[in-house]
Amino acid sequence: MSWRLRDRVSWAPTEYGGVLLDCASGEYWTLNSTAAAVLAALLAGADIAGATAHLAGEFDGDLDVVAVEVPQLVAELQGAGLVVER
Amino acid sequence: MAKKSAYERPTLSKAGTF
Repeated sequence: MSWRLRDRVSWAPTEYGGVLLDCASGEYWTLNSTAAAVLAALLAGADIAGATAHLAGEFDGDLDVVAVEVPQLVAELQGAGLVVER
Repeated sequence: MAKKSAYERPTLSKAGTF
């Protein structure tokens, strides 16, 4: 399963992570550096397992912890209406 | 080998409206 931004959602990487702008609702969201790395991997075509592996490779984290927290983030992104399945 | 950045829990925070 791969992911894309919902229509009218814009993504801007920043020095500390990133910002998502929902132009439909006027809300904006911030992501920290690890969340931004996950989103970037997802938008590049990775599935959740791939994004997890990417994050574990980029950051000094316990793979077991990363494997729990990445799906939680994706669920949050989906629940907020920011990403949808391709 | 490059040192990895410290891991922190990925967070999504609603920051406001524009």
